[in-house]
Amino acid sequence: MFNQLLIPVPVIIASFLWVMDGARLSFWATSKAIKEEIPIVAGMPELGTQTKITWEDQFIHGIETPILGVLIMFALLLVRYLQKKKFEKSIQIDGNK
Amino acid sequence: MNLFRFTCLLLPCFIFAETKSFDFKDSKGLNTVIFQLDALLESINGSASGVSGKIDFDPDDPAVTKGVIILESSSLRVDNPVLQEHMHGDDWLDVTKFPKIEFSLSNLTRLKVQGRSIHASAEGKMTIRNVTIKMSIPVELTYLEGMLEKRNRIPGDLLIVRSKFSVKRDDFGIRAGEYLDKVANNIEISINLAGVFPSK
Repeated sequence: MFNQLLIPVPVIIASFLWVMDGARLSFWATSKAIKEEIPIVAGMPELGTQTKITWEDQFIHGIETPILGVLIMFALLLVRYLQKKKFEKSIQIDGNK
Repeated sequence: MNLFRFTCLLLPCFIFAETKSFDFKDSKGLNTVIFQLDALLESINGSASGVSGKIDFDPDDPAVTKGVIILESSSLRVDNPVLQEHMHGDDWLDVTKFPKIEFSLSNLTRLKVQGRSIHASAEGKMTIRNVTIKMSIPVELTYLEGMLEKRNRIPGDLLIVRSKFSVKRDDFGIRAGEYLDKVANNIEISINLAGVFPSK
């Protein structure tokens, strides 16, 4: 039987990862757009700039991460509940003997 | 005789009118189209880099500016691979069947000169998924004479085209009337393109 203190750990880890990536409400992303303003004519930014977009491969946590954390927590709660039931049942059987 | 005199009168116009054909296939890879649309959870932001096309521009008569800007639909990119797959797929942009998004510019109207820039309405036709619609798009053109040398080390001119406008996916048959609660109908588009005209 695992320690019941471990049950909220998945939610804590998942929430931490999600918040660290900006707590985005959108789904997981696998790349990030890096925007950079480049002068149209080098050394003359007064003539205007163009946005250079570079797509960088990077995993960014989305709303699925905390949801997954909650689901794992519920799964652990269920396992713990079933183990507890089984344990109580075995004590009852031993007592009857 | 009258025809001769008429031709003589028009001749200077043909001699001095210099229409320059600017190429928008940028070797520096900075020509990008940025798009944004609202979705259920968060806005979808993306970019497209496959820009090409030519615009004929006469600095002395910018109203007759015409040409075509082409965007490779497969170059549209977003941060989520599943979303990108859907966007490129048969139901949405169908990039294999419709590989190009095109704006065909016929002329400029409502021209207003502000410093180096010309603000105008670009009259033309937008084609997405083989659906062509007449559109009027606000544009800002900046003609930079002789500046290509400083940018690309080739003598010539630059033409910068900037614009912010929106299109409705309904108008182009992109899942028209469907999923409006999940993906907005309006697609905000922002362009900032540099066209080159090498003088030699």
